[in-house]
Amino acid sequence: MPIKTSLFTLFILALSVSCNSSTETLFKKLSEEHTQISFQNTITETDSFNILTNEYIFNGGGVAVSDFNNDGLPDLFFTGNMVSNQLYLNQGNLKFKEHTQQANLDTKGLWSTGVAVADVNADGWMDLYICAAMHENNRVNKLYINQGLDTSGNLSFKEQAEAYGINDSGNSMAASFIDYDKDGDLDLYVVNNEQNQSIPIIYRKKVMDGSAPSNDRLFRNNGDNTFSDITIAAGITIEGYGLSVTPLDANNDQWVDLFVTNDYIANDLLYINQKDGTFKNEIENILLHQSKFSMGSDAADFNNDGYSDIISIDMLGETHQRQKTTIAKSLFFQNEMNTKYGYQDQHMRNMLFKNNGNDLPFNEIGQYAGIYQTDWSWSPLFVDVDYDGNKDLLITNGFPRDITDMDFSNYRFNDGPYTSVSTLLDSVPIIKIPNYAYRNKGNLTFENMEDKWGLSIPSFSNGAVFSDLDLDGDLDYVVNNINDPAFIFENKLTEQSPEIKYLQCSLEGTKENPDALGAQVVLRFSDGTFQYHQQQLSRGYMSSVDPTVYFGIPKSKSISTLEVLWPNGTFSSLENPSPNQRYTFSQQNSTLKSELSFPFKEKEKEYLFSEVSSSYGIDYVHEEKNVQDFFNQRLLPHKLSQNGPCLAVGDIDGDGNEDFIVGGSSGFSPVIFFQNQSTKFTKKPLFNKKESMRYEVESMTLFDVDNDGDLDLYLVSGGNQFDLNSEFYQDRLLLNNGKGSFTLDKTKLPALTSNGCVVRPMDFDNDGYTDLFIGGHNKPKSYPLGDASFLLKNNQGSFEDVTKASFAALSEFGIVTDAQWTDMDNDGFQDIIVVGEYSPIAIFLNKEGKFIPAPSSVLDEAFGLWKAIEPIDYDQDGDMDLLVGNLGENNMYNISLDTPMIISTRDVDSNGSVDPLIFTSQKNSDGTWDMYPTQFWDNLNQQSPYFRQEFNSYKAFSNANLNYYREKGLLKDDQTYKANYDASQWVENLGNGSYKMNSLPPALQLGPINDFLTIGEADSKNVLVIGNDFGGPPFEGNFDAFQGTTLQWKENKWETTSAQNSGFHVFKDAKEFGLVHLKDGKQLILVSQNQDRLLVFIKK
Amino acid sequence: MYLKRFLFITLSILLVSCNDGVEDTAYLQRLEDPELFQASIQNLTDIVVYDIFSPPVASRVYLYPTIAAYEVARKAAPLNYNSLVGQVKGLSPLPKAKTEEVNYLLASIYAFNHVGKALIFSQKKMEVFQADFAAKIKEIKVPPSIDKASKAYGIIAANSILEWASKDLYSQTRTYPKYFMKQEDRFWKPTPPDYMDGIEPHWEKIRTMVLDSSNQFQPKAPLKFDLTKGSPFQKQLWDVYQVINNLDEEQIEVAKFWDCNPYVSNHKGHAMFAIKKITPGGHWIGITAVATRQAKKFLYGNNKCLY
Repeated sequence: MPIKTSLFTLFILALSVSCNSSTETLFKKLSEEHTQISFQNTITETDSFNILTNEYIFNGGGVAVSDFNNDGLPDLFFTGNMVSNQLYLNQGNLKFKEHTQQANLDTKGLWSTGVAVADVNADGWMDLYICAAMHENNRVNKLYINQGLDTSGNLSFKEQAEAYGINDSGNSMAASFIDYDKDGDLDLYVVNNEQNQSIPIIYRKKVMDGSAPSNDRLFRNNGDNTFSDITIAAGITIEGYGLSVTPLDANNDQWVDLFVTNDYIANDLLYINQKDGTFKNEIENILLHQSKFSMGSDAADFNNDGYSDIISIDMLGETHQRQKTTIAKSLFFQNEMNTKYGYQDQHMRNMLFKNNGNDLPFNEIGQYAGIYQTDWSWSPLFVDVDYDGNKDLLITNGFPRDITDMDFSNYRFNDGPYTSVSTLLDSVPIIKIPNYAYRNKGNLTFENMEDKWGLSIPSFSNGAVFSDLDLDGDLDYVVNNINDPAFIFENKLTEQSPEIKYLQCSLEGTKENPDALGAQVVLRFSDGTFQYHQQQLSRGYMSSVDPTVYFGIPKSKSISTLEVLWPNGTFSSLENPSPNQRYTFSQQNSTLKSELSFPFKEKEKEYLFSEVSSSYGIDYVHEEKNVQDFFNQRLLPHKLSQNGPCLAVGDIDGDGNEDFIVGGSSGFSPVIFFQNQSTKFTKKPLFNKKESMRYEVESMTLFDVDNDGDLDLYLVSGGNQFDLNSEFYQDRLLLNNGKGSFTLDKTKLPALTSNGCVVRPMDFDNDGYTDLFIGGHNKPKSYPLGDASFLLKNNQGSFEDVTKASFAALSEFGIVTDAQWTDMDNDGFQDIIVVGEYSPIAIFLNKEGKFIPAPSSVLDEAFGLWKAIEPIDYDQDGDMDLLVGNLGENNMYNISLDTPMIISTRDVDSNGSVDPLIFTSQKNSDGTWDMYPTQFWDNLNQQSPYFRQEFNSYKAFSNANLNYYREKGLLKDDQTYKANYDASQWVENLGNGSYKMNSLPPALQLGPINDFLTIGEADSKNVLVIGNDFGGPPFEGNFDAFQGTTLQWKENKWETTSAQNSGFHVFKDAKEFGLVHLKDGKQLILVSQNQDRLLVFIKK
Repeated sequence: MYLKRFLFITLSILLVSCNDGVEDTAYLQRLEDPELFQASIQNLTDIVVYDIFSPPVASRVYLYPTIAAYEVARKAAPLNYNSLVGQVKGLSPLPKAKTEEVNYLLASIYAFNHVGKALIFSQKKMEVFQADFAAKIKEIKVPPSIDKASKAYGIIAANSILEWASKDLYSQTRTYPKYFMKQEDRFWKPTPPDYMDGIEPHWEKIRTMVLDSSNQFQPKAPLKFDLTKGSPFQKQLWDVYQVINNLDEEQIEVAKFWDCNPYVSNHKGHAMFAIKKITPGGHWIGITAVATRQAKKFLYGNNKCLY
């Protein structure tokens, strides 16, 4: 008996001991004792040399990984600022031997920054190019030519930058070897960042002629161990406080392009290779906005669709405390100044740009992906650390002196110009924050894994690389730290999960380009999917990554081929390679392949849609005078005056052909397009008098008011730029003379001076005359309160406001954004569905002319930032379902059923103005979540001094949660609106007044949806979707990631077709659809865009 | 009249409470010390600087507390000092003190600080000062009943002034639209490095004290904006540009002396820190303080001290 018990005990103990392995993290931090790597980028501040005298003192150093001594093991090289660079030779088993002095690589006194690796003299030994900065008399870049091993086996280098002609003396931050002219040898791009007298945040004309001290440099390899500076001739002429360069083929044309990140106000650059020896910056059309203080960057195909995506890194803190103590306010002068000086929009957060192929811009989805706020960040690296087939994202961060702390700036010290530097510095807080690691979930989103992966150690980290240092298959991670030893993280994946499958690929290029920079590799799976890699080494920040190519293989997939497209266009491939091996490809064994397939070559696209405006003579560009909404109401979450243009379609001149009208903004006339007998269009303004053009037309409808057989025109006036009840908000009715000439009739409408938004005609009382529903938008200068909505009864051509009598519930509605008539209960009377900002999805049933809310526990609680509603019987079961457009999930508001966005409608200081504080769920520094204001303290103070008085520091403000405001009476729950949905929805009508909410697929969540258009019948029913909102506030920026999508209900689910596959190329601020039937039976799909062209599509 | 009465009552009380043999009317003299008031106004200036008020708003922060103090202090010698009621817009007479224990000089300082506290942001700083002041009052041996009555009256008076102040439209203008930037070159644009909003674009709507409105003193129109070489505007612009780029030491010192920007931000890379100074209004307050000290007079209007 006792023996059995003790055996049992032992058994339990054994279990508990072996169970510990499940709590082991993916990465294990190796000790200095083990690795013998003692490198530490130590920075010492003095009174005369510190963050206030030299702002780049903490920009850190980089890491390079390459096999410098040709022994088959990857070695590590660290660049140091005040300390010397150091080389560590890999001895195997994660042990390293320092080999700096002996190698002549000692650089003490040289402020080294970025490092690039190449075999510059093509002798079979990898050389090092070191960028230098900081000291004007000692910052010449260095080229260390690898001398190989001498007779005693000692590896050494010889500095020869001057002889090669690449001894650049600018303030260099990073460099990259690229073969930009495809002549076989590697050229050199150097990123410069000159600090001159002017303050880098001041707007001024851009210096674009190559003369700026901060202009980067391009050196062409002459092929004879010399380089020539061809910067200007190559078109590299735009200034910028450069911090990184990432080479990539952005447009799949096999020529290397360059993404350059610039700090401060200077825009980032996307130099597209013109294939003729020059580059051209095309960033404005390819990336619709940029990160502001762009630091590191990377390029990789993170979503496995065959196009290389881009990430740029910024300094936005993740917690509410960090954000609100480091950012005083959203900068409302930004948009005006950007326009004035020709700068593209920049916003302070990490940006993830998804490549959508050549006919479309990239779209920025960092917020949707969940990777946009990693504090003061430096190196982003896409690397599949868990080998599940999706590239994960590792981001380093840290800054030893938090000089962005606003309390430090404004309130900490008050002694003015006489305070000593050391006192000043002592009052700057030190924030040591762990790096970030994100696991790619394969669905365009990422999840935080730094804790689970064992990478979450507080540090000041800068450059980093990944490499299989111990040749055990998985990828280890090396990080350069300031004032701490470098991190060497051993990846334990293959040990912890032996079932993991991966594949490694070594590329043996030419003598001049042994690492085959510019090559492309594709790993194809038997199910048709693939992984795509572009071979470049300058990735992340100041660093050079491992030249070996690594692929993780998903459990469910089997490999079909591994293919290499070499820089010279030749091809190598391997059929059915077995996993968990390293394969070597040699360029000398490659062959010419006649037929390349995607992604080596852009695919042949069979577009279903083509844009045909010019073929039909439809030439229209919407214009609008800028209204400074944020100067009217400081705390708005978006502009309220940029909703147009609207469209209306109908046979205006009675010639049997459909015409259409485009609405005009204030100061411009709406324009009529008449369809003639040869299906071409001619345009004519609706108004000639200036006075008639003062109104802003928000919505229009063509309908027969007086049943005289022609289409009259109703114009809803709105736009938020006029004061409450202004005469310019009066809607207008224009009567048609039967031949397309309109006359204003002031007698048929009641007073309607509400800031209107939408008009929907319908004979709601079945009396033969068409009535009107008018939705009101925001109460001018009082967002988020709504202005009045109306139900107008058509009494034989004259309208009567019957809202109170027949639609009382409407008076409480709030801001309306859209409404549609449809018979929901099949009783022969048209019901109406109304949606708005902070509204539920409101169905009002028409009971013989009286409207009552249709109670639905689901829809009544579905509060959203709704923008569009489309009733549709998608499943053809006889009842109407709904598509509802919302803000989308690509935002920073963390909206959910449990954590709604809450907006206050209270006048906090009783001065007659609404103070719309907005609260959303945000992270605390301790990792918990709570509700906090979205707005910044200074902006709240600009709204009312009440908030300035309530708190005495940014810190205090950052700690006040929603409960605080509630307790102080600043927020009253019965004076709030909310939104608990941000995702656009498809709502299933289950019958009997029951509904089910469902989120639309991810492609439809990348931006706001403004309109739907259903075309086709029954099984060939397609829904086209457009959206975006280019009226975002300065901090958050525009919502510009939505690209035209088509939806089809197939096999019990929604199938989406992206713009890049359908040809429905809509990616600007697209507002409204119109559908025009042509005389020849074809249909024109009109898409209106704010301050841009009217697009016209035809479907094949 | 009140003065004699006041003295009589005071003496009587003193005679009655003579038990200890310590007769202390010395506190009355000590209350006359203008430094008591000087300290309060200096404190207000310090807080104005700390809280970063723009010059127009700072002027309001100086205005109402000083009016409150004057209206109360003058009650100690009402025949020698006229009330501002009837001279400034909308001001009603202060409520009368309910007790004769009120020392108006002391009460005026209580009123000053109470109004000041309502107009600044860092109320804790004012509270610290008020605590110090209370200690000082004890130190100079003001009888507790006098102190209590003076404080109570000071607050009543202050609230009356604050009520009057609240009607000047300041509160409403906080949320009026900010200055809209106009595109054309001839219009002012926000300036680097901070590109601050145009300051107080609705200030002309604030109730004036004495002026009918800002229209009462029309400045000469500025030179017509014209960049063509030789135009008056261009010539003036060029002059300014030349001078700025060729400043000598003395010119810089003079400019620094007159510089009235209360908030100068220093940018270095991503770092920004503010150097704060007094506003122009604060400058003149300071000059008055210096002048009255030199003349050894009470703060207001260079008149003889009340006693």
